[in-house]
Amino acid sequence: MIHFLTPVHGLLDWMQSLPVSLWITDSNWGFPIMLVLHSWGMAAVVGILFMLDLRILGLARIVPLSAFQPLMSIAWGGFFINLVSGVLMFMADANRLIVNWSFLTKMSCVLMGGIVSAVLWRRLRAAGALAENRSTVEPRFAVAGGGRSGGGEVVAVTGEDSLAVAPLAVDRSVRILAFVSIALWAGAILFGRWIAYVMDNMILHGAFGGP
Amino acid sequence: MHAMTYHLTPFLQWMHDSRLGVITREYHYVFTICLVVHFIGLSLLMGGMLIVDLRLLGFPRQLPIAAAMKFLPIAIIGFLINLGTGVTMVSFDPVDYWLNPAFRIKMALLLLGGLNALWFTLVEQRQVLSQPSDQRTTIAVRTSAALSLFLWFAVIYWGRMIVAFQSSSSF
Repeated sequence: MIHFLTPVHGLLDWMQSLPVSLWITDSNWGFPIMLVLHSWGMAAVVGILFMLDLRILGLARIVPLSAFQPLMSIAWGGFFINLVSGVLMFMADANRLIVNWSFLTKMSCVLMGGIVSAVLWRRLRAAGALAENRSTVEPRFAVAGGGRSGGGEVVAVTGEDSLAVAPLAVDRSVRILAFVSIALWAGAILFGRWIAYVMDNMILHGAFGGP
Repeated sequence: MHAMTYHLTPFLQWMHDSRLGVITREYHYVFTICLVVHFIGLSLLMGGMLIVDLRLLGFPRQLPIAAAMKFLPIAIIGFLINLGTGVTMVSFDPVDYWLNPAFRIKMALLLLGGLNALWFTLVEQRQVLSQPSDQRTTIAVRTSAALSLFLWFAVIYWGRMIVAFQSSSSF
């Protein structure tokens, strides 16, 4: 059934035999700790990318896009945590994950999400949206007097004015990229969650030669 | 065991018998969908909180505080998504959750996080929004922001530990 994978079985078996793999599968806390790290990393990388995408789609429009330049280091930190914890969890259960359709779909979502986010980021950079002193893409600020907050609240002059000086905010192709990015990262979460259910089904139906 | 817990906690019994509980137990996919959506809500909540709290701590400095605070409504939407999906999942078996130490710790941390956010909103927010954006926030505000980050990541930790403490795995 999975004969096309025969050449890599030796490699997968070797991964699973490593001490760190055995710690993840056999200890009480190995797997839960990996899942916690994976959730923390997800919160950082998907959280920040969601905020960037939503900002491009028109929410929190007052936020200068250049502010995401330093914030991207948080997203990269989360990605690195998830790369390490993800590789370790894969090594611990390599033979079963390599034939798990949900895992393969998740990895496709992560790969495509990464590509789409990278393309989106390059588009912003190429358009000069990430330069701190570029006023063309930053919404103009004004101080509202006598507002609900008792004055001093910073607001955008008007939505339409901001759009006029921030052509990127209305660049349809960048907005489509942001939308696709949200869909792909949400898909990564969906199919990541689904891995366990597929695994259960495969065990239930004897896909691994029975218990 | 269960009968006694039910007797001691009528609220859990009420939640168990509620229409929501009945539906969640009858259609198992409701629980599965809620769990997936819980993680998407988590990303919205944490993305917003990361930007707000980090900015209150001074990073990134070129981002005006009032602008960073515009991510709060997104975080609140994420929280409401997780409140809804969370209550639905608990209604599947409220007693089982209540007997789970990880769940109780998570609820306690959520309460502390809520009180911290309430204190910031009622006491500090006005002053923070009115101060010049390049000025450092007060030690009280920075403490609150650091506490917020710690509490939300701890909530994720103990949320993940709920399954580890469960006798039967329902993921």
